Amino acid sequence: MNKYLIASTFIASFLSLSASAEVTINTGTGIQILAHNGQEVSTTQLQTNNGTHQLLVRYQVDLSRKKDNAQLENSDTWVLLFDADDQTLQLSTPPVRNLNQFRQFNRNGNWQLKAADNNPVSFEKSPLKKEGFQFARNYVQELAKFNNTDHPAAFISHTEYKAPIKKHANFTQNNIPETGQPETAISTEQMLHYWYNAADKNTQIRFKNWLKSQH
Amino acid sequence: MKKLILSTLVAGIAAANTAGAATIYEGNGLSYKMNGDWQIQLRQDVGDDQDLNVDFDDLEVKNRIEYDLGNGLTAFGQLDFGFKKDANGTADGSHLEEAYVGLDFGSATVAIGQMDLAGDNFGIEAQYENTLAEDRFEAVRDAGDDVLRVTTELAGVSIIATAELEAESEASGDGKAFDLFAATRIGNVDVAAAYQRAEEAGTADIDSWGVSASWDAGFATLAADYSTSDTGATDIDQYNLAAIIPVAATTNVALGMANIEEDGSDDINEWYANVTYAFANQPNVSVFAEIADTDEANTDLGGLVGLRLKF
Repeated sequence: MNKYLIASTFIASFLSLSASAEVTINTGTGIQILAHNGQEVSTTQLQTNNGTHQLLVRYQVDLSRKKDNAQLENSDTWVLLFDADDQTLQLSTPPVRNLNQFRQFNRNGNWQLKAADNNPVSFEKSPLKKEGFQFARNYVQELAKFNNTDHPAAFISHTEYKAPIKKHANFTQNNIPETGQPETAISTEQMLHYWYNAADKNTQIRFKNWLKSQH
Repeated sequence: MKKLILSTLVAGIAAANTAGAATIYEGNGLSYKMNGDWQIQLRQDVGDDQDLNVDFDDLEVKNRIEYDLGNGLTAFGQLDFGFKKDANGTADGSHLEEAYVGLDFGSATVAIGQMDLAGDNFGIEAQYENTLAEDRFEAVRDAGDDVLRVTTELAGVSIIATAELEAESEASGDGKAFDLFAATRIGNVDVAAAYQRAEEAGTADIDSWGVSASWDAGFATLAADYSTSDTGATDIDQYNLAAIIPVAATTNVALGMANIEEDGSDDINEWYANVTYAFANQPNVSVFAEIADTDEANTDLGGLVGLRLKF
């Protein structure tokens, strides 16, 4: 009887935790989420599980001066990577009211990610650019390549770890190898990446704090 | 701040998918973008004995190239073609609406060519089709073909200055103008001011200035502007009031009025009401309707319905 009670309590607690373990990401006007954790989506609001999230987003704004004159501007596609647990987040841009402000935004990628209490949520970012004609973009493929780099905004799946490829600064598709297969010998750095991503949130935070104290 | 008001208006109904990336090519520091704005209306103008007609209000194709020159420097060029005059049967031989090149230094841009003047950014009206001028800058002069333009941002204030050269010896010579426009946001209020000194061939200088404010009140955007021109012989004042009310996620209603007062003449008032519905899954496609009237003698109520596609 005790075993049943303990098991039931455990299952109920687990289900309760699972039900509440959810992250909602709302976006400001003109922002579209194009992909989440490497999978293509097309939405302005996302509900997902706790953990690390990688968004591919784009901002579109109409800077028209008159009703008979449109001036649509589309930003580059940007990769944003952040951790979130049981939170409602708001993704927005600074005010963009003219072409200068739009260019500055697109150049710097100064997206704003805030929690419900209006506190900023830290994130990594990178423009995701495709060289050549832009008619058809395969975001899943582009993100898969991007995520095989060691860019801070790369998303490394907990279940399928792939070796990082040395790459920094702005990411473009042309300078990434076709395949990002793990190297034959597993390096210390690879193991560090693996165990970091395998750790729970609190452990990651403690590790980050420890890492900062090492300088 | 027509620009700001309309951005708010459009933004308010552009919350869903924003499909239609306009970038055609990007590589080796070059980007080529194409935009379009196609709007056709079934319209009966405000006025005396006006007939219903199909009006091609804007049939524009815009081309823009940018070259990344490194060290934060970008060269850009824009070429816009409009075909509404052809479609309306009033073609004057030119399809060119804007043509300019320039350099973007990051903190400022400099451009030269055919383009709108800085004063064209002024104004808050939210009407599809005006019977009266939008404001004094549109009434006097709002574009030129021998234009130098500088734009920058100082301490949160956006500043645009343009100079239309006289170029009297050239075929493009059609008077001169200097415009200055400044805008900023204070809390939830966008404020702007503009000044213009214009001189058409054989006329005295016309000095115009104006101020505007637009308050984002949450439930609506409320806006007003005042502009005035001193032609030397007379003063002409104009004010506009507008309210843009989002009534649904996809729908905005705008109400507004304009008043023009000229020395020695009766005031003229115009009012309008319009509704814009943007499709939820494609907000760059919208349908709209508007009614408007003035208190001038012998004028009847006008109205229009239209469909707009932009990319």
